[in-house]
Amino acid sequence: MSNENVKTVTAEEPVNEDELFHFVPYSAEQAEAIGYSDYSYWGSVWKNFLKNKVAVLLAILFIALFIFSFIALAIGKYDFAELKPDTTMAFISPNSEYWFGTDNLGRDYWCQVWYASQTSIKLAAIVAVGECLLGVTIGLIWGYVRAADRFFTELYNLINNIPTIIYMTLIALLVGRTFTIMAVSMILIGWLTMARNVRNLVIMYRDREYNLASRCLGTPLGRILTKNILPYLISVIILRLSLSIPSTISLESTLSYLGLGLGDDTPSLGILLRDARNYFLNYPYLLIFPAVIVSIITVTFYLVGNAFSDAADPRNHV
Amino acid sequence: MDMLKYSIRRLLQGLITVLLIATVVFLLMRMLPTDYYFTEEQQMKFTDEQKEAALEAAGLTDPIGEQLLDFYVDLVHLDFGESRRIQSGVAVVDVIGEKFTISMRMGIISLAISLCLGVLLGIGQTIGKDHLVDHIGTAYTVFVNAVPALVSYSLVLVIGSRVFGLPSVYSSRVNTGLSMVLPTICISLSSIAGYALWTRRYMVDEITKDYIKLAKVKGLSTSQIMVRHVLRNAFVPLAQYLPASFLLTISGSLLAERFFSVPGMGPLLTDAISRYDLNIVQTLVILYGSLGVLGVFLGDVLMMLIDPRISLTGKGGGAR
Amino acid sequence: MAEKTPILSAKDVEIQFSLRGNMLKAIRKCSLDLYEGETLAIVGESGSGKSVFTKSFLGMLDANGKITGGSITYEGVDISKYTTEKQWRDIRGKKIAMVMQDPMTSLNPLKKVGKQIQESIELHRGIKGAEAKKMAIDMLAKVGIPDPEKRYNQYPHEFSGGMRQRVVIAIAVACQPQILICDEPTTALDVTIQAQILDLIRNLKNELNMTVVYITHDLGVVANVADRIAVMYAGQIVEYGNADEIFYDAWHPYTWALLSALPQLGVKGQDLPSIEGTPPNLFQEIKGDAFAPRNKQALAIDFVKEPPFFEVSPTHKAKTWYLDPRCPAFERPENIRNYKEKIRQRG
Repeated sequence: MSNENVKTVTAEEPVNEDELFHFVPYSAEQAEAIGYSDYSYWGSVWKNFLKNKVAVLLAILFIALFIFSFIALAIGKYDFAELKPDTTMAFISPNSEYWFGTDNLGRDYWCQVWYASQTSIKLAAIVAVGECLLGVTIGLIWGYVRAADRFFTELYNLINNIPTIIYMTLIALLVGRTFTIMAVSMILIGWLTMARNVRNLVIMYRDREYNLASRCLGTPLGRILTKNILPYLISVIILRLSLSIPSTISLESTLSYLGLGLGDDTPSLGILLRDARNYFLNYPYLLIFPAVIVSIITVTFYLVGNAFSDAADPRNHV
Repeated sequence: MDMLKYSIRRLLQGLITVLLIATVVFLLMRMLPTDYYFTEEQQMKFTDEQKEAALEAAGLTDPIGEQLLDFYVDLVHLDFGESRRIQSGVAVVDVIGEKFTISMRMGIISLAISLCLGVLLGIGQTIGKDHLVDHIGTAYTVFVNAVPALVSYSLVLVIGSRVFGLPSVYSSRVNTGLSMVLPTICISLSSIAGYALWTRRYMVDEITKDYIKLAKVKGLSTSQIMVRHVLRNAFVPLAQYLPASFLLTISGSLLAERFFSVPGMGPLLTDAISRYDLNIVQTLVILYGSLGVLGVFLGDVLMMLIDPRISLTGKGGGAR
Repeated sequence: MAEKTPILSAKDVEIQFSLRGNMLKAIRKCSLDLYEGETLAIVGESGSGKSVFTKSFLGMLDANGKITGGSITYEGVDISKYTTEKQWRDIRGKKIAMVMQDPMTSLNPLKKVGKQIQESIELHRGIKGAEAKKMAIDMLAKVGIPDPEKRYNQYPHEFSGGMRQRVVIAIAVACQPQILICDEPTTALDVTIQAQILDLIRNLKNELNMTVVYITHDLGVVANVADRIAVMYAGQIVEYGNADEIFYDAWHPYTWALLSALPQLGVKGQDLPSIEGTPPNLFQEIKGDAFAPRNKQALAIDFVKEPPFFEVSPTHKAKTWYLDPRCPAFERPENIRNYKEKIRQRG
């Protein structure tokens, strides 16, 4: 009834004003009508993220690059597993036979670069996920369980105060230098930052009224953590998750350069960059190919992570 | 008086932290197989008995508790021992001292450069927010933070040596000054970005605060507000990190020094570990630990001196 | 209280903000005259635009906000057309000053309070050094801060909230401005301190012969200090008049709603009436009377055509169709009907 009334009058018909001097029933719905009732959190996050053109473009570029690395290995003329050193073929600049040229040992650079890209991405992804799982779990307990605070704080201080390079060197010397060891040791050290971030946020949200109420109602700890607190952390977790990828790649390349990284049989982009150090002043293509790819990967995750965490912040939603 | 008491308490706490770190590293190092104790040559030439005798002479076969005790006793006497493999027979203090000088020289130059450029860039970015300078600064920050140092160093090396003809490795004999240019640039790259980022963040933080609005309502001009209020206040949180980053910078950069073959502090630690030069490792860890503790402590003291809101009581210690 | 010509006259002011690509109309054709020596209160709920409107008198809109229409005439000049900071700086602090809501954050935490007052004096009065310092200390004494010479050298964190607001007021009046705008000056303070601050402002107003504009959502504050009241809703002034006229003879349904929500009018055992619904979305074009959707006795015409100002008395005008002769009989809310008696009963 009320809606009909309103509709007929809002239509721009020439109405006699005098006829409009009558009361219309009150509609609570209309009184509450504000513009953004169709708000959805993830919808808004996505919409905001898409507004960041650079990040979207880079994300597409990265996905394309990742898919292409498989195609590249498939269509390449040489298979990584069958590469043999042949110094007579060393330092051939890129041509139709060797698309990225050959390295100092005369091996095809094309298949090395793409193989190394996959290794680096794989390592970074595994470390990021591992750090995230371990860091979030520990961070939640650290922040929520008061009795655990002291222990984890001391543990954090102890691990954090000793230079990472000592751990990495010791691990490399003691246990070896394989892909798995590398990933595990990076996770074992990398969880610290994530855990600390999560812990600080949890402490912020732990004693909000609704959690107090939940506790009084006997909600189990796990449920409070996953349902009441975790959602607040999403923006930070995503940020750390994506920032961990450039930092893992960076650390890996530094370690590889110092001879503490992966073994020579599983080249990563870091190892290619290390091998190139002595030659790239004369053969710049040895630097350019891995450097460009590594930069695309790291810059993408850095920017996408920031863009996504901005988009995930409800304060940026209109 | 309060200040003195507070300082002593903090420094004692720091000492304990350093000791704890040194102990952990001491124990970690003992996990390495003793094979690393010998050079490759000795490894081949020595018989098992000879090896055993050498280890025993060095006290490495003693029970771990005893070794640890000896270590503490030496520490109390400030005796850091001699290097074994890095520079056989030379006192550790001398080995480190020599390398420290080289690292510190580059570190101080780099610190001066990056502090000036970084803070200036940060100010420029704040004033020209969302304009060209800001975008350039942001692009620079993203580049330095995201791209692995190995790549950016390579880039500096290529441009520096190909375009400007600068030496591509450090040399202590010929053209030392010139050969320091590229490594110094590399060390500064990330700290410039760091200072710019923090300066900008703190300034933007301050600008949005209410008291800036009040200053504007008073009728102050933008430049007056920037100088008298924003810059001054933004410097306070920045100051807290200055001592720590200063001490960090002068203690050498691992990758940059290795990359340009600088005989500095940076690669010493990894070299010492992989060559089982225990005395050097322990001394280095104590040195880095002390510098770290000292940096945080000096930062807090500096904060206290320039921020009237912070009092001595209530603060101190804790996981920060 | 309408005397001769106003000292500041805003006419059909329109202010827009651009927010992430959308235009938000914060102020929609808003007019206001300010007369010398009066105390005017602008009342409205959060988001009604009262703060934005007065900020435009000082050129203090946020960077994304702009005056897009109308004029603000002050001393014969249309200041709404000012473009440079330099032009505004002649007005800010010197002629029109402002006291902001939260004294805890509106002082620079790292500067001695005395210096912050002195800064203002040195800027506008051309006095420097020891003399300016003496004036700053005088100012501290004038706003009722004991031991001003010692207090001059202290930092804001050594002051309580009420004391800080006194300092903020001292900064504002240090240059004897003609107009003092107080943006919710007591909202952040304890109730016991509120009255003291209001008294202080009243005394300073009389002493320095200022015109005072209060911005508040608290009709209780208004009742104590205001000569005239303007009620704002959704970026417009919907009713204005002398304080008595607004309290005892209000016409706009929004004013009724505000009055009914006054705790002083509550009846023991009954819920305090609240205004149902939410203010309109200012991103969209508003048609008719903006308050109509929340008005329980809205007229059909309220949804179609914006009402003009109808005159209740020479000093009292309201923007509502209820004043149109064609309007059918309506009822004012029960609890404000015998308002006068209630107020009298409760003192």
